[in-house]
Amino acid sequence: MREISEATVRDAAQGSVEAFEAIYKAYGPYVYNVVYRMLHHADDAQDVTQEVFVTVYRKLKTFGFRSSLKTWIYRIATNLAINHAKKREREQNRTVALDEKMESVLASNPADRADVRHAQREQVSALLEVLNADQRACLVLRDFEGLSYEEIAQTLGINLNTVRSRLKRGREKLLAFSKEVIRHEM
Amino acid sequence: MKCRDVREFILTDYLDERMSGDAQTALERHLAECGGCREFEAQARQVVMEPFRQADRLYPPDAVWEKIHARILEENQARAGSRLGAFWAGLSSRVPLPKPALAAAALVGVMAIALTFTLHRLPMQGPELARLDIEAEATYVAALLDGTSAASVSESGENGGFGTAIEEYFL
Ligand SMILES: [Zn+2]
Repeated sequence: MREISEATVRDAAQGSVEAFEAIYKAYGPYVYNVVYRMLHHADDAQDVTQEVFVTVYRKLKTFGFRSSLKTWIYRIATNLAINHAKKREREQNRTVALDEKMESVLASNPADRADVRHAQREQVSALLEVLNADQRACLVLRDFEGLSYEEIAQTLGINLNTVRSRLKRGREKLLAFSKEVIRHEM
Repeated sequence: MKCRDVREFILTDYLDERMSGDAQTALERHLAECGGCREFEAQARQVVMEPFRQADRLYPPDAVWEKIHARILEENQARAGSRLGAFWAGLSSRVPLPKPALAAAALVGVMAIALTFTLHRLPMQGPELARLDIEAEATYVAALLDGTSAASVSESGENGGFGTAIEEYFL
């Protein structure tokens, strides 16, 4: 990844489209990955990625270089993705029933060897649907993005103990869920 | 170390490689002696670690940048508009405008809006962009005279006012 200089950030804040494009090129894929893993749908992920960067553009003047630009952008991305996920869950009348989630994981089992990678990817995303949005954000930042507990705490504005307990609860749920799936398959 | 504590560490600090020294030694000694916790560790790695570590990285399609690009150009127009708007508001409070001038300005505004939307579809470079800023300013001035605010001009359309909610969220 290309490093973004302070000068580039200032130029973008002043309205330079080229400078802002450099920022998008550097961080767009990170944002898209986080948002996609949070929302599990490409359409939603694209819409929210768009909102993230329009928000970044508007807020760039207030970025004070106190945290890294990457952490700051991740924070905007996770906030918007969590909001979007929660809104969707409310609209769907709370979370989808566990049975349905299990169906979706089972359906994505790689029956066809040729499509095994795609199926694995679907399974991973489906697996995350079991978690609530806050737990999912912690797991995505940790397991897909490789952030440390400290970086996750900074990004989400929560303390280290909360990071740790959300990861623990989330992973317990995944373990319990996978046991249920195995029982279903037998 | 109790099995319960060991398993909590496995799901957090141990699998995330945040343990060291005595704590790690104690945990590994427990694992060597306890088949149940060894089994738990193997399962945890298989279910909550491997699938994520092996997952592909995804890349946003080009259309995402194209949409962002279009929206920040709109944003720039709105910014240019509000700069001129502040100047104009100051001026018009001191110099009252006669009615016919108001109507003429509104007409110019309607034309400017039409022109802005037409130009907006075309790819643009330096001089065109500068001209577009002027059009945006004209639009803004017309909107002011019309009694609508600049915000409603820039926030209407595909945005649907969602941006405002986000702004509030981050304040
Ligand atoms: Zn044990």
